Amino acid sequence: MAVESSKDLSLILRRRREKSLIDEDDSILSPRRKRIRRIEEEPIQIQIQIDIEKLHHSRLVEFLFGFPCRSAFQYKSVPKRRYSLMAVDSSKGLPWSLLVLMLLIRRTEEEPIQIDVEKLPDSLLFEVLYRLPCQSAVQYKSVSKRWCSLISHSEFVRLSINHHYRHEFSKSHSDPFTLALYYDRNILALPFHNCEDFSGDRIDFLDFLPCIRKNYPFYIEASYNDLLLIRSEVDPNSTALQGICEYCICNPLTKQWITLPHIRLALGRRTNRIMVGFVCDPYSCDKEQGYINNARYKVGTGD
Amino acid sequence: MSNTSENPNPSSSSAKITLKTSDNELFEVEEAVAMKFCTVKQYFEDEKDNDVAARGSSTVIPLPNVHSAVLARLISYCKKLPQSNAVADNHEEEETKKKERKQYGTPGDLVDLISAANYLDFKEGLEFFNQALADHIQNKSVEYVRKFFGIKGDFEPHEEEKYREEYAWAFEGVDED
Repeated sequence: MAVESSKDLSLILRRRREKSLIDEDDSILSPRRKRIRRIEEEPIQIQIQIDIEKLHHSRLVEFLFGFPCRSAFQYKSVPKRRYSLMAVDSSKGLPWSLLVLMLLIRRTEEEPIQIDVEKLPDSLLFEVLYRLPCQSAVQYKSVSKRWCSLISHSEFVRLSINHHYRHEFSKSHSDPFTLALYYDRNILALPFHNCEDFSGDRIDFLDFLPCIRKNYPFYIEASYNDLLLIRSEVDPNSTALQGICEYCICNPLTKQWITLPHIRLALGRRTNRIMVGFVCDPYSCDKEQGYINNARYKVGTGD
Repeated sequence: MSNTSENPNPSSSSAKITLKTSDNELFEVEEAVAMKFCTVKQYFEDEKDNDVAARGSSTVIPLPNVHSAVLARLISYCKKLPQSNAVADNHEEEETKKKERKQYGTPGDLVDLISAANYLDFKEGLEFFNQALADHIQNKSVEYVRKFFGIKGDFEPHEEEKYREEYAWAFEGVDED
């Protein structure tokens, strides 16, 4: 039985080998490793799944270890026999070469294979997503409409901050609860905790704002809770727009912002004499639209 | 499976509970382990009034939504819980935990484990598996995530383009695939 099965196996492998081309860097791999590569490179079809059932146990184990670990575990869907084999034989004495091979594959295998994450219900996928770093979460809004709606959910920010506060705030100084001091156009960011790589003069937490990306002069005028009121010049090089400045309200944590209408400053006055007030209503919760932040602002010239 | 000798108080918690999985496998687990699964606990408590609990392992609790392969991993995770569930209090510890999470299972496994842990209402497990899955996809590109999970982007190209422009900062500095 074992002989016959191994013939099946070698047949499949030979067929696959003939089909695939040899690339240069294969020459440094051992023949066995080469064979494995072949299998990895092609989508594994049901054909093997059927054949595999005929194999003798020892052959099957060897064969299974030839797969990238991820896929090997994926095949546990038919799997009682296969899965238990993996579990039992990895703890028992395996041929040394196979173990090495297994480790090799574990390390080199980076090819992503499809996982049916879509079968998770919204509530569970949500649980995974709010654990992502802020940047990834914002980026993944564009993965699909479903992901976008989950990440845009009003609960998301709250849970995400809560989670990162509990688990990860110690990792990076750009995470929540950084205190920023603003003095004479210099911004000093004090991290929430003492971290060693703190430089003290870099400001990168406003990099998401268009005016700052364009390097226009800007000033932090006021703050309220986690919101900042930023004033920037519209285009310092354009004479037509001279004296016009732009205000925007932003949240450095969620990296959201809104731009307020342009304001023309009284000519001849020094801009730093404009007094700005910034008042926010407390968060109001709307059942349909989630948290709505009502911000009021007043701008006036001070004498 | 019978490691009652390790149990400091055998009289109270050496009781075994039998769980039956979707593929009709029977698992005999210690009560302490089974009680981590709130769904099982609830079932037990409901039955207590009827004095079924007294019969101990003769009660078989059916878990029609859990496959034996998944349950086996959940049980083994349960057994090593005490060390691995505390919140890391320093950077090094967090890194070790991250490594542990990374090696715990393939994303495909994790999806199964999350579904099962959710069904069983196994909170510590859910926390761990969710984080492990999140670790797999953090700081990656959108294309990587789509390929990884086999998701088809359903935004119009111009919608996506607009979003990318607006949130350009989020698309910078992601890890190489």
